[in-house]
Order: sequence, then C-alpha cells, then structure tokens
Amino acid sequence: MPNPNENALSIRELSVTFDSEDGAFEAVRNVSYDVPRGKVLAVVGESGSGKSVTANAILGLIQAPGRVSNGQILFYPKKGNPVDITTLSEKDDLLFKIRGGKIGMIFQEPMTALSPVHSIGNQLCEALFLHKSVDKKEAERVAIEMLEKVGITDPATRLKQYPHEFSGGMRQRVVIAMALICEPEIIIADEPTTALDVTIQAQILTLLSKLQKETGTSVIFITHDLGVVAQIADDVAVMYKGRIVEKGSVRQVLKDPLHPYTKALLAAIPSQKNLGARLPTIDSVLGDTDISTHTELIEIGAGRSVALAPEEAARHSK
Amino acid sequence: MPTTKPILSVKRLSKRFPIYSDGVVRRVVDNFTAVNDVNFDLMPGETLGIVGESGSGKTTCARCVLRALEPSEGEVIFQSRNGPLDLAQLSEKQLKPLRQEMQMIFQDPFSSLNPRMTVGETVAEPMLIHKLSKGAALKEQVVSILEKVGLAAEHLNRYPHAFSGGQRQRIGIARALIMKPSLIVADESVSALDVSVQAQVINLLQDLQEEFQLTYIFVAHDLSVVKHICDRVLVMRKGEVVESKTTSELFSNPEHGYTRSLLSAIPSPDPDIPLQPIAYKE
Repeated sequence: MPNPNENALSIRELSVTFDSEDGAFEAVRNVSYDVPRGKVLAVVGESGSGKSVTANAILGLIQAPGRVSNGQILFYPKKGNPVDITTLSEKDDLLFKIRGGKIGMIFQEPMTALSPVHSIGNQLCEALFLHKSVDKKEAERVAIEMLEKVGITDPATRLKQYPHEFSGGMRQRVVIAMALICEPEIIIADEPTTALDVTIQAQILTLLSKLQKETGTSVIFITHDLGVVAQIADDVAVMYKGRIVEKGSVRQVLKDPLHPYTKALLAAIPSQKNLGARLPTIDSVLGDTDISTHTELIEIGAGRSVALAPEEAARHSK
Repeated sequence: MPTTKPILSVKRLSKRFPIYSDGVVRRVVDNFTAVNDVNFDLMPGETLGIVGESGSGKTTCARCVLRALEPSEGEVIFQSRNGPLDLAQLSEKQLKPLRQEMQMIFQDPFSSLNPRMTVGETVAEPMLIHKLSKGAALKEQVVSILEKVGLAAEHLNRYPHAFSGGQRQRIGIARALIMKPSLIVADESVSALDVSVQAQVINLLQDLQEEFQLTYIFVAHDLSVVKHICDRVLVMRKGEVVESKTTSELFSNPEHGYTRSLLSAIPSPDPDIPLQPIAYKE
C-alpha cells in the first residue's frame, strides 16, 4: 500500500462495465492512477475515452446498467483511515460524507449545474448544512466569504440572486465556490472551462490555480484541451478507449510524448508547426501502428509510464 | 489580390433588436444594437473568420448576411449566378432561388439534424424543396455527396443517433454541399468536436473548398482554428468590428487592445509558455 501521506487518492486496476443486451462493454479498463496530495492531475482523452466515467466512479456515481467490475479506489483522508470507495454502498454514511464533502465536484455546464429556482445563497448554504454542523447565520457568513474568494463583487447582494442573473463565467465561479465551500481534500473538475469563452477560461484557470495553491487541495482535472493541461496540471494521464496509455509529469508528457496516441493528439492541434498544411489526424499520424496490442503500462522511471512494447519502453527507460 | 469581383460585399450592416416594455401592451422602448456598421469584402475562394466572445454579434452578423435574420440597415451585395444582387433588399420569394447558392453549417451536430429523418432524407431534403432533382437521380447525387464527405451508401437509411459527433457534422456538411453553393457560412462548426475529429472536419472543409471553389465565412471563438484555416479575420466586440486584417498580420501584429487580450488568453500546449492573459480595459 502506498504511503498515505503522499497521495490523496489512489485508483488501482479499476474497471467499469456497462451491461447491455448486446453484452458487456468495459468503458474503463484496468485503470490505475495516483493523485498526489496538493497537486493537480489532468486526465485527458477524447469523448468516450472513459475519463469522466472514472471520475464518476470516484464519487460512487456509477449507476445501473454500469458497475465497477474490478479494482479499488482508495481515498486517504488527512485524518482517519483509508477508505475504498468501491466498497461503499449507496446508503453508506461515509459515502455521503465523501461525496460533496471531502471530495468536491465542479461540472462542465454552469448552466445546468445550478438549480434555477433556488438563490445562489440557498444552494451554497445547502452544501454547508449537509456536511457541516453550522447555523444559518454562520452558513451565510461562510458563503459570503467564499463568493468573495472566487472573485464575485458585492457578495452579500449576489447571495440573494438567482443563477439567471449571473453571466456564464460568474456562474462557473459560483459552481467553484460550491465545490470549495466544504473545504474538500480533493476536487474533481470535469471540463470546467470547456463551455466558456477563451478570455473567461483564462480567468477561471488563473482563479482555480490560485485557490488550489492557497488551500493545498488535490485536483483531478478532466479535459480534452492539452493547452489547458499545460497551464494548470502537475501530472497528466492520457486515456484512450478506456485505458491509460501514458502518464507522467506534464513537462515530460507534453514536451516528449512517447506513446503514438499522445503524439497524434498533440499533432492534431492547429499550431505554428502545421500552419498552412493539412492537419494531421489521429489516423494519419498513427498510420499502420497498431496501438491496441500493448495495453500494459510499463514504468520507465522518473514517475513515468507508457503502454508500449516492453523492448521499446526499455529504450526510453531512465 | 485577384482582379475578380468580390463574391460578397457587405456595407454598413447593422442589426437592432427591439426592447419591449413590461405589461400587457408591449411597446418598443429601446433598441439593442447587436451588429453595428460592419463592412467587408469577400473574394471567391477566400475564407473569412469572424471571431469574438459570446454576445459579440458574430453569429448575428453572419445570419444577417444570409438573410436568416433581417438586417436593420446596410447592403449585402452577393454575386449570384445571375449577377450582383443586394440580398438586404430582396423579398423572401426573390431570395428563395438564391438560397441554393448560400448554405449554412451549424455548430451542434446533435441538435441540427432531425432525429426522425434518415441520413438519406436529411441530405436529399433541400433538393426536394428546391425541386432540383428526384427519384433515382437524386439518390445517386445523395450517395455521391455522402462519399465526398467520407460517408457511404450504406449510411443512407440510418438515423442520426447511430452516428458519432464527427460523422453527424459530415452529414450537415453533405446537406449544405448537395446544393452546390458558392458561399458557406460555418457557425462554430468544429467547436463541439474532439481535437482529432476537428482535424478531420477542418481538412474536409479545406479539400471541399479547393474542389468546389467554395467561399467560407467561418464564425468561431477558437483562435487557433481560425489561424489555421482563415485568410482574413474580423474581430468583433459588442457588435462592432474592432480589427480586420489578414490572418498572418492579425496574429503577428495585433493592434487593438481587445485583440491582444483575446490572443493572450489562449493556453499554449507548451508548459514553458505560461498563460499571461492581458485584461482588456475600454
């Protein structure tokens, strides 16, 4: 078992299966990753790669016909014993405390993540009432403080307003405030800036980065945008068809990608390098390379692993 | 600069939306100017990018050009097959035959296709509306255009739900192309797609442009995509064009403070280039 002080969360050999009439489909296959305490781990991949399903499993949110078919999700709270989230039942008090309490969630769509019929203050305080024993006055005080922290001016007035009175960027700030208000140890951010304009995205990334450093929270940042990964994350795991194909520090993986899929993903971004030329697509970069033969992640040192043929991985080994 | 005439010449284009009073009798109390005094020329085969944040008026501007919205003021001179016409002045009836020559590709491949129509019906529909073809000949045309966009005859009888986002976008492109248009407005047509699918669709749009001499207006908020495919760019903010330049000039030498703030906000996939967004102040 890894040192609990180092990691806030460890996923071990996780598989998530969806059963259907046509048989079982494994959306997540044998995925393992660690979220170091106080660090940001980015999980990247295209739609259908299983990155969000993995995140949902962490919160115990996999619903039928889906099920966790294998593996462990070990959560190491700062105080208390490690918990394997996969063993908790839906009615377990502990799962209730973890979900939204110890582990917070920031969703993609600030439009749908907030209830349109409750005031912002109501929604912020609800999280506090559920997870902390506070009275109304204290909850409001904390909520105001939190709104101020995420850069909302005149928070006392804004507290009484409804989501439709906020712009997209402001709503995402409210969603971030909601995720942070119970002082979680881990935050899962699922494409939190994808729906935003590029200037607002820059503001939200800067804010998230600042708050993360201040509070020392660990973050799992799910995105498909490698530009965002480069700016916010310490480590990155690249997912493809339910598996991790490469993981390591952001610098290692983005500057010197080893797996053909990571290379292809980076090459497909319109940039200075391919200006005026046809964009390389995943298929054209991969060519005849079959990336489904070697699925085993091989550690090659310096905290890096890649799913390559053993002899090829050995060549990159440090 | 080619010596040919512009295919599209937009002059002093404005669009105002009325703001109504509360109450039972709704009176117009004010106007909201969504597009204000936009001017540009577009040469045949050129790709013009219109960029800006949500609410900047970029989509409204593009829709006014196609008369999907009524412009409040200005001229939209379009070189049709029968000579130049001011689209802003024509009646709906006069516009109808022209609609074949200008088509639109939409943002969301999930909501822009009718879920109850097969791919074949969806792609054939505009031809039937304009009574351009029918029967076996039409089917042949549909198959040929589907093949052009990388789909096949076997897809004809399937419904949109059976396709991925990238494939759906190809269906939308096929539907626009079957009319053999000269002008295509693509409104955020690749923003909902994954980066690898996005690359395929961008390549497809560029191949088709070459093959059919298409002129594109590309409405987008992703500046790296715009940089890749556009010849010229209009930067819009609050309904006005704040900067209009060739793409290479815009990216190497942005003059307007707002353009600079937009460019500075793009996160680079190189971890050694930190994000340093410049705030824009009026």
